[in-house]
Amino acid sequence: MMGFGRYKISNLKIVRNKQNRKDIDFVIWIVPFILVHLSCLLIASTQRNLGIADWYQHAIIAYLGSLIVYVLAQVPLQDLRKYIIPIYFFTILTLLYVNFSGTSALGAQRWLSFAGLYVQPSEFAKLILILALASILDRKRFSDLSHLIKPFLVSFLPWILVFIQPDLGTSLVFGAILLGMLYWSGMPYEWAFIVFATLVTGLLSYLYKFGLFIWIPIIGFLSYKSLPNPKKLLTLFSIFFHSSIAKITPWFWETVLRDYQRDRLIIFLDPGQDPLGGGYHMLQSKIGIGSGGLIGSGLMQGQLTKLKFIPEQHTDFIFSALGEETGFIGTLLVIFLFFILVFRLIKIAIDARTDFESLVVIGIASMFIFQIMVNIFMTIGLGPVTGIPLPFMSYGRTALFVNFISLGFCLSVSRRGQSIRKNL
Amino acid sequence: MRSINSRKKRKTFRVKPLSSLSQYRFRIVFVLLCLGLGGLFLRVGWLQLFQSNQLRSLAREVQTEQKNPLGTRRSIFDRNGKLVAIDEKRFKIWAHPRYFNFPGDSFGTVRKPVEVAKLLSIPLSKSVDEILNKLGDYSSGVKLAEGVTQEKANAIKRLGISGIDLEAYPQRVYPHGSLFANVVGFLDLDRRPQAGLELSLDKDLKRLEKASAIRRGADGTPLPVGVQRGVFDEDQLNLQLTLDVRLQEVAIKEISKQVKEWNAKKGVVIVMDIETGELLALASTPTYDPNKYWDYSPSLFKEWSVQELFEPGSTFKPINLALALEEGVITPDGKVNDDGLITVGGWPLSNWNRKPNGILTFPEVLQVSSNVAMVKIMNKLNANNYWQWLRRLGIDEIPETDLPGAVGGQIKSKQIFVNQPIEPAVTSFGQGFSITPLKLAQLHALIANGGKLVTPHITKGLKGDYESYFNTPPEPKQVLSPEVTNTVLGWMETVVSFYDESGIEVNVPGYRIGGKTGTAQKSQDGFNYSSKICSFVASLPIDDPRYVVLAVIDEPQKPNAYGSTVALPVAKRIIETLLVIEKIPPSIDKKEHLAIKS
Repeated sequence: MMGFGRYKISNLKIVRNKQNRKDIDFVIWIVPFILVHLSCLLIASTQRNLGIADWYQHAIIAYLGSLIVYVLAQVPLQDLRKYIIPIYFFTILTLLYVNFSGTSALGAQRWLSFAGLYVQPSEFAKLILILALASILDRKRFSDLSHLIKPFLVSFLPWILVFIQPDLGTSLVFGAILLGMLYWSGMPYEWAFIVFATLVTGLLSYLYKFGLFIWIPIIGFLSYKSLPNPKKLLTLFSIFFHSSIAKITPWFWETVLRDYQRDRLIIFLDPGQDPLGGGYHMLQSKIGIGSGGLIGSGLMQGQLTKLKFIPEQHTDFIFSALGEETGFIGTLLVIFLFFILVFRLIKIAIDARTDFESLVVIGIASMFIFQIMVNIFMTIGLGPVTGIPLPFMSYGRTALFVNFISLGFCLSVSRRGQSIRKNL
Repeated sequence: MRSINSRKKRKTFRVKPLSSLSQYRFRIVFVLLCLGLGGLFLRVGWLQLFQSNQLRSLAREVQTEQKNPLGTRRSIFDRNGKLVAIDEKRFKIWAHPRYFNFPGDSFGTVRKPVEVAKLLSIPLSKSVDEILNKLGDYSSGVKLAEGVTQEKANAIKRLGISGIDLEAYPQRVYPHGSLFANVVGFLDLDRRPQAGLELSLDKDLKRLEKASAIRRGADGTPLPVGVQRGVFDEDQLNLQLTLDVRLQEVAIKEISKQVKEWNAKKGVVIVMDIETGELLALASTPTYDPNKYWDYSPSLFKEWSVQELFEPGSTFKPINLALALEEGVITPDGKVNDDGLITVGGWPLSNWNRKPNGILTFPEVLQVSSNVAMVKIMNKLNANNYWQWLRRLGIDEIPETDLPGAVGGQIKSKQIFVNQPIEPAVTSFGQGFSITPLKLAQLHALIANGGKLVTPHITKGLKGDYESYFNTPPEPKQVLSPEVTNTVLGWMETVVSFYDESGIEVNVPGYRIGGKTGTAQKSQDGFNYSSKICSFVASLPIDDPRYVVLAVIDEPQKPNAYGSTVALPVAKRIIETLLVIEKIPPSIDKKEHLAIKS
C-alpha cells in the first residue's frame, strides 16, 4: 500500500521535474566539454617548445571519461554501496604501495606504474573517501562528539598516506571534503568552528604566543556552550586538544615539513623574498596572467607561455596560460563555467533522493570548489603553491578521469533525484 | 509491517529535518561560493585590466637581454694554449635606495635599505651593517661593490631588486703574474695599454663588439625577433705566443736565482728556434706583476734585452771567425800565434788573464778565448770590408720583430772604423760596438742554421676555432755560406768539450752542444771600464741544430764573475729543461752509429 503510494508520488515528480533535470544534465555535459577543449588548446600551447605532454592525451581521457559518465549515470548510486568497503581498503593498500615503491617526481612518490600507464592512486582516494564518508554520515544525527570519531578515522588513513608521499595539496583536499560533508550532514557550526579554530591556534602558536592566553579560553567558553554532555569533560578535552596543537605546531613546522613545503606555504605572503625559489612560479604566473590584458594574446600566441617562463604550466599553472592567451574574457568565462557547474552540483545534492546520494554529490562539489579556489588563487599570487590541479583543465590523466567519474555519480543522483524542493 | 514502519520512519526523518537543514545550509554555501569566485573575478580583473600594461612591460624586461660593447680584449695564450692574459667579466654594484622595490611588490612601494641589505649580504659577502653604512642616507648612486665576479653578480641579478644596478666591465687578468710581464705588458686601471704586446699589438688585441638586444626564452634560447645582423658572431680569436710557459717558468726561476746570488743588476734568458726565429723563452729579471703594476717602478715596464744595448764581448768571437772564413782570410785548419800582448794604434791589447797562449788553432782560439789571436785574425780582413760585413749582419738596424720597443745596435761610423785601427781591433773580440741580447741570439742562430738571418718573434698570430691569422715573418736572408757556419759551429762544440775537460760542466750526457762564454768590460761613460757583463750562448744539438740558448747577467758584484761562472750554469739548467720539453733525442756518436750499422 505504501509502496504504491510512493511509486505514484515519484511518477508525479518525474513528470514535473523533466524540464528541470534536462537543464541540469545539460550543464553537467556542456561545462566539462568546453573546459576540456579549451584546455587542450592551452596544453598544446604550453608544449610548443617542451614536449613533455601531448594535448590529445587530455582529449582521449576526456572522451573516455564521457563514456564512463554516460554508463555511471544509468547505475543507481545506491547499488555501489556494497563495494565501498573493499574498494576503500584496496585504495589504502595501493597508497601504501605507492609510498614504498611508487615512481617519484619532484621529490614525492605519487605514481603507480600499471600496465604501462602511470596512475596516481591519491586521486582515486579522494573519490573513495567521498563515498566512504557519505556512507558513514548517511542518516547520522550529530548529538554526540563520538559521532565524529568514525568520519575522522576514515579520512585520517588516506590523508596520512598521501601526506607522507608527500603530497600536501591532495591531503588538503581530503580535509576540505571531510569538512564540507560534515557540514552538509548537519554538524553544528560551533563544532566546525572548534575544528577550524585549530588553524588559528597553530598560527598563533607560531607567530604570537601571547595571543594563546586569550584565544584558548575563548575556545573553552564556546565548547562549554555548544558541546553535548558530558560538557565539562568535553570542554576540558577541547582545551587540551587546542593546547597540544599549540605545542605541536612549531615542532611540526620546523621538523616535519620539508623546506620546499614550508616555502610554498608562506611564499605567497611575500614572493619578493625568494623570486627564484617558491616565489618564481607565482611571480611568473602573475606576470603571465596580467600581460594577457582584456582580450589576451590569442590562443597559441602567448609569449611567456611559449617561452617556458612559467614552470608546470600544463598542469598546476594552466590558468596562467589561459590568462595570457585569452585575457580577462577567457578567465571570466572559465570562472563563470566553474560557478554554474558547482551551483548545479549543489542543486543536485539538494534534490537528491537519499542522504547518501546528497552527501556524495556535496563531497564532490566540495572537492571541486576547494581545488578551483586554491588553484586559481595560487596562480594569481594570492595563495600558497600547493600543487593542486584545476579540475578538467590541468593536464593529469588520473585526475581528469576521476573528475569524470565524479560527474557520472552526480548525473546518476540527478536522474533519480526528486524535486519536492524545486522552488530553490 | 515492520518494513512499512521503517520506511515511514525514514521518510519523515529525511524530508523534515534534512530539508530544512539543507535549505538553510544551501544559502550559506551559495553565499560562500559567490564570495570566493567573486574574489577571484575581482583579482583577475585587477591584474588583467588595470595592471596589465605594467606586467606586460615586466614580461618584456624579463625576456630581453641588452648587450653593450664593453671594450673587451682578446686573450693571450702560450704556444701550448695555456692562458697568459684574459679578460674576466667583473661587475660594479650600484644602489639607488629611492627605487628599492622587490619583484611582486606593487608599483611605487619603496623597500627599506635594511631589507635590501639583508638580501645582498650573502652574495656580496658583506655584513648587513657594512652595506647599510655604505648606503647611508643617500637616495641614489651609491657604489656598493666593485670587482664582483660573474657568479655573485648572477646571484644578485636573480634577486631582481629594482634600484640595484649591475654594471659589467672587463678586467684584464694575468694568471701567471710576473712571468710574462716583460713581454706582454699590462693595461692600466682605465684599460689603456701601457707596455709590452698589450701596447704594441693594441689594435690586434681589441675585440670587435657590437651593441645588441636579444630576446631570450626562459631556458636562454634566443628568439628570432628583431635580431640585428651579426649579433651572434662572436669574436673568438686569441693571440698566441711562441713562448712556452714551462720553459719560461724554469728560465725566470734560474735567472732570478743567479742574479740574486751574484748580486747582479739584471739578467735575461733567451731561447730561440734557429729556423723560424720563434722565441720559446724570453725571461728577464727584475720584473713586475702586471696585476699590481702600481707597486713597481715604471723603469721595469720594458724588456731590457730588446731595448738596451751591451758590448757582447767574447760571445761575438765565433761570428767574427765566420766573417774571416767567409772572406777567405783564414782557412779552417790555419794557426795563429798568441804572444799575450799586441799594440794597435798606440793602445795595448791583451788577453783576459794577460798571459800568452802560444800557437793556436782556431778552435783553440775560441777555447781559451784569446783576444790577441782574434785581433791578429781580424786584422787580415780589410777594415772597410769588415765594416760592410757588420752592416750586412744588421748590427745597427732595428730588427724586424714583433717585440715591442726593439732597438738597433750601434757601430762606429765607417770613417772612424776604417781610419782608426783600434776600432776593428776591439770589434774582433766583441767590444767597441753594442747590440741587444736579442740581436746576439739572432746572430748565433745564423751560425747554427747555416747562415740565415731569421726574424726573432714571439707571436704566432691570432688563432680562432674557425679562422686564424698567422704571423708569417719574411723569408730569412742568406748572409753566410753554410760551409763556413758549420765549421764555426764545430769549433763551438770543441769549446764546450774544452770547458768540460777544464771542470766547467756544460754538456748534458748524450747530447752534443756548442757554446761560447763572454765576459765583457762595461763602460758607464764610454771610457771607464769598471763593471762586467757576463754571458753564455749555446747552440744545440750540434748534429741537427734547433735552438740557441742565451743567458746574460749584467753587473754581477762578486769577485770571480765570468761568463763561465755566472751565465753558464743558468744556461745549462735551461738546456736540460728544453731537451725534456721539446723531447729532443740524444745524439748518437759516430762510433756508436757505426757499431749499430755493423
